[in-house]
Amino acid sequence: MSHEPDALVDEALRALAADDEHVSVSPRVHDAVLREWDQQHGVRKRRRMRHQPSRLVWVVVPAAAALMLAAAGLQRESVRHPMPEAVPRRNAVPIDVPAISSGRGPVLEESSRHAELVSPIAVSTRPPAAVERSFGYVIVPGPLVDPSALHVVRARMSRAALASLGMPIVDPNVDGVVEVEMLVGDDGVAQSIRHATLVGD
Amino acid sequence: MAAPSSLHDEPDDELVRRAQSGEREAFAEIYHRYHAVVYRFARMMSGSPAIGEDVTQETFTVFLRDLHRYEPKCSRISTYLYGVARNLTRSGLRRNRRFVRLDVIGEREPVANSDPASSFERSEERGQLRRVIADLPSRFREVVILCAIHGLSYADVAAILGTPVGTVRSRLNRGRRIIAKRLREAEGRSDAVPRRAARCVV
Repeated sequence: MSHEPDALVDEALRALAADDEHVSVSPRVHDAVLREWDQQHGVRKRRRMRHQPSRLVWVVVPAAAALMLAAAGLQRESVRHPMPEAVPRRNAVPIDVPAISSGRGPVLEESSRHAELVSPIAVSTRPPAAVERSFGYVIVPGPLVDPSALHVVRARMSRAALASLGMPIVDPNVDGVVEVEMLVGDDGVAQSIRHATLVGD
Repeated sequence: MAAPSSLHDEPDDELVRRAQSGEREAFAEIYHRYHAVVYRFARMMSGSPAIGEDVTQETFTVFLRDLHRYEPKCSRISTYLYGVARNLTRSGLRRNRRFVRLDVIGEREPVANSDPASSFERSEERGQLRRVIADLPSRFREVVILCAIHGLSYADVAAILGTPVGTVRSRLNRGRRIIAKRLREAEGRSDAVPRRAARCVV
């Protein structure tokens, strides 16, 4: 076989290569590739953020733990030393907790009825009338407990923690500690809250 | 799109390192450097500009996906991209085997020349050559394109295909012979039609 055909083919291929240099890719491809880059990097950032624990966890969990510890401690304390009549602090400011008698929805009605059933508790020195008038906001997760197994517990908590328990607070983001009295069952679950006052620093 | 001028002189390894650290412009510069060769390779391998563009896009998407694992010391970017484009083109062609191609690159390309007739003739010849290359068996086609059209060395082509250099050389020779034979056959067929006479009529 002569080398001439090979030379002709090589020449044709070289000419084709020279022509091929001028072909260009549509800008659509460039845009799609860089969109893919943006998408992948956006997804990675979002995934990193999703793996970070929410800041709210760092607030809510300690607040709940502190509340439970305070409730348990106060319960023990009140058993040992009966609680004296509450004296309002000089800088105590009442906050916007709805009146029990307003009867908002079935839960509040139920809680009002329940509050009427609550007898004055041994650990409290408050007169029964005051108890009946003030208790009312029920956070019961299950069926109501036996009224005779309830205890009055005083505790301080942040407005945000109070709001997270379901209390309608006007502005839960404002700093400040709220002093409340709770009806706590023998199982340690708070059943009712009353007498919420804002305690200044 | 042009990347910032400071990146133009950066070596590939540095661009990869910067892209791995999340620098979008470095990745854009890598695309800017290599998209044309990837496209030309995929286009000629598939015989279709549309498949060529799809493969180009997919190749860089795969590169982007594996960017964090890519080691410049193991292979050059061009070798890696050619390899990905080759696999994607082959799988794309396998997928589309049942379809009849309508956009095969045999279309006449405008060539600036004072003699429109000779331009037309040259364009016809190129189209014919493209068709012959597109019809080669893929193992010969890829070697012919990489060596003869893209001008890569035997060693580079061997690295891309994962075959010994001797195999690349023998496939290239065999591919050239097939092309020469088919061009002669096509010439014989076209001689039956008096092209020169047709030109006169036009």
